[in-house]
Amino acid sequence: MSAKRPTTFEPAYHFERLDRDQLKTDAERALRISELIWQAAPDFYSLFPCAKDALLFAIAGTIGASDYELANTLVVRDSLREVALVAGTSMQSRSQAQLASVMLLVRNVQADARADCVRRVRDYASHMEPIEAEGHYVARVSVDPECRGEGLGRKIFGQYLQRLAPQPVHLHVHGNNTAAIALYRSLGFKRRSTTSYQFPAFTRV
Amino acid sequence: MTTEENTWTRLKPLFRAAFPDADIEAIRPETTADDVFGWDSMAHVTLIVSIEEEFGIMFEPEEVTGFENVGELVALVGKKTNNV
Repeated sequence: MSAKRPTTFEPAYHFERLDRDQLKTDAERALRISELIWQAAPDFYSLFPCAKDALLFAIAGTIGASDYELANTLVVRDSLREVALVAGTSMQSRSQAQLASVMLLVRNVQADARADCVRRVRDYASHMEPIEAEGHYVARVSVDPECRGEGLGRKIFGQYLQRLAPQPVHLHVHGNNTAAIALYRSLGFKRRSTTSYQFPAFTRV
Repeated sequence: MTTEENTWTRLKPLFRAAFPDADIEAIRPETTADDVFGWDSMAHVTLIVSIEEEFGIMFEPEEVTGFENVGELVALVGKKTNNV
């Protein structure tokens, strides 16, 4: 159980770019961060019929790792723990990185359940608007539910964008996630097209 | 039977499972993913994970898409199996 966050003063936030090597020595921290990542896309991770702990462990191994879609991971901590996260990779690496990430998760699925799992993942992916462009891809954005409504999403995303080399940045968001869409638009993201997808693509030039 | 032929014999059922609507008997060393019906990225994941289990090996992320055709995949599997 996480400690109760203080509510009587503005917490001091610390931003930190993660790499896989530093997390290898702190499995507990890695799993806490994996939980944040899981919270960013629970519908996606629920496509893999295996124990959540196994998924979290698999995700932990990819945080800050160059071959996976969480290659560039930025977290923000308050005095107690990580409370928000943004992670992504280059558009050039995205396709291979996503394949590697999915493989890691599928390995945890029993052989007789794999065909169905892969079918569901394929269907899920078909609802994402294709992005044929260069630049950077933001794969995960997450704010701890206990910390929502405090502008943390804007703070960490702003930091993330500042730390990137100037380039187009792309992401997908569920079409019904009005809060996230409002945030991304306020940061300069625009719809790539008017084509109807469950997960439309946004780009910030 | 050569090592490659032996490896391919063991790989064929895995290809049949991953690409149920493809003509596996038509596959040759120079066959690419584009030549095999149903070989998309998710079928690729299915194939690679099943190969890992069958042969007791693990593909590094860069190896997952690091082969141009079936011949190179067979060679990679043979190499990784010999290194286990």
